[in-house]
Amino acid sequence: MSSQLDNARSENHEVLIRFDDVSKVFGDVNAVDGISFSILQGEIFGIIGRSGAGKSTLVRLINALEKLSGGEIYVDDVKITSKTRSSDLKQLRTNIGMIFQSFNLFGSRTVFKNVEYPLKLAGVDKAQRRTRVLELLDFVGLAEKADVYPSKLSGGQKQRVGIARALATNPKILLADEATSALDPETTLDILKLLKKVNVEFKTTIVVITHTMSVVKLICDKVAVMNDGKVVEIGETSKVFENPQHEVTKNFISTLRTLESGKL
Amino acid sequence: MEYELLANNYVNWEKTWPFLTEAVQETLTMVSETLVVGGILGLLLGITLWSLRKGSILQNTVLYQILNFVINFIRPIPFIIFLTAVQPITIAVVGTSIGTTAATFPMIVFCTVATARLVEQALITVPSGVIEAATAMGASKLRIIFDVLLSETLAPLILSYAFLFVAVIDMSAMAGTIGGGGLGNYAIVYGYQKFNITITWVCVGIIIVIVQIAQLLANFFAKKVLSR
Ligand SMILES: Nc1ncnc2c1ncn2[C@@H]1O[C@H](COP(=O)(O)OP(=O)(O)OP(=O)(O)O)[C@@H](O)[C@H]1O
Ligand SMILES: [Mg+2]
Repeated sequence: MSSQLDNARSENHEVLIRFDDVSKVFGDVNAVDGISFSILQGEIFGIIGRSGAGKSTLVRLINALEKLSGGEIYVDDVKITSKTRSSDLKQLRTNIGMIFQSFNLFGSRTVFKNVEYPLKLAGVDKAQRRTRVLELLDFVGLAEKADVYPSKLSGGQKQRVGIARALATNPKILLADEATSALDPETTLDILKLLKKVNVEFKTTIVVITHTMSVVKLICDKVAVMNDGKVVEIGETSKVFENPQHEVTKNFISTLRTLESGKL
Repeated sequence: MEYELLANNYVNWEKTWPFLTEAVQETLTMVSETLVVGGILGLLLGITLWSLRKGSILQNTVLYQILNFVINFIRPIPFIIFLTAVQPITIAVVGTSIGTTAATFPMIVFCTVATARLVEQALITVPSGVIEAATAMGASKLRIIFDVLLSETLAPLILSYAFLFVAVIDMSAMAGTIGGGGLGNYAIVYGYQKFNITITWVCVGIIIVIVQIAQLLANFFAKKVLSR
């Protein structure tokens, strides 16, 4: 088992996440249907597709929020299979942050305590936790909101807290499932800038799920287009834009062009 | 005329007082025992129910349905009928069917069931995404229950327990009628059966005061928790 893992790493030193014939079924729905591709260290990787294409399911397999039905995923030096028990995944999960469309902050905790919680789980001592939380709140521009409860924040501020919380344990990977879908265009841009800053400053690999091609265009180095549980197109963002192959990709791009042109 | 002859609103306070304080003590004992035991068992059962629900941390539909059925079976039974219906079990468990101890057993059962449902209802208000966020951070199931579930629902849980307190006082009064002692028994025996409306209303007054104190305390703490 471990030799397989070594192979995976020696093939390409920069591979951080590798999907190998990954599938996930819910009853008779093939949500993810035999997907294989890799995400490199330091990339911002976009996953786009229509509703129900399987984007969330694919990404939730990375931190084992969903159990694999078949295939394998290599994340850093951890191998996930259908036999992996979620109770063995604490280490893996500490190394993966996640942000959500609905932010999912703890309403009963202040901003400070939200960001502190993953550090508590990781067993970091109190003084260090404090330093780290303040550092993160400063990074996301919410230092003055430390003692405020989430219900008092705007959507954009909530997502900033979400980002700070996801980054608390300094994970190598950040998963963003439609992190800007609930935000207005201006706030969306702020959050995208912040994600870019996270990527540049901390070298965090970011997996971005989105419905909109503009998000891909703005921040993603690479993009995978999903349809019906399969990756139908994958490549560098600029190449995919220049020369889209699949009908779904073409539709996404032409929608973007229409929006940009301002004419129906 | 006849009523007036029978009705006896005169109260010899010197004689009544010791009985009344004893009744208050009995009520408070029954109620607190029930609330502590039934409250804790109900909390555990409520958490269990939540965990067994579809999509939850220990998802098990069959077990959930069984527990659900038992709870739905017991809950609608009027407590006064439940009391008499479980008498054989009460005798088997506590050895007697009269007195405060005997009354406490069915109260605990009923309270557990009611608490479980209230707790479950409070817990399901926690968005699944919040649970998921904690899971994604590597929180264990136990951590999720204590750090996320219970702390996110503390205020509604406090209010649920205040509601239960009132329900348990109500139960204790009914338990009184089958010889359970306490204010309920006292009001029936010395108030109703002796046509002494004053005694009845003194009991009512005492119960109102106890309930008000409990509710005020609960509101205070819930508000404190909710100040966010
Ligand atoms: N827990 C689940 N149980 C049953 N079916 C599910 C579950 N989660 C997802 N599915 C199904 O799997 C398919 C893929 O869902 P998924 O949420 O991954 O899509 P998505 O691309 O993220 O869609 P959206 O853009 O709407 O978020 C859908 O058909 C969905 O109904
Ligand atoms: Mg989705």
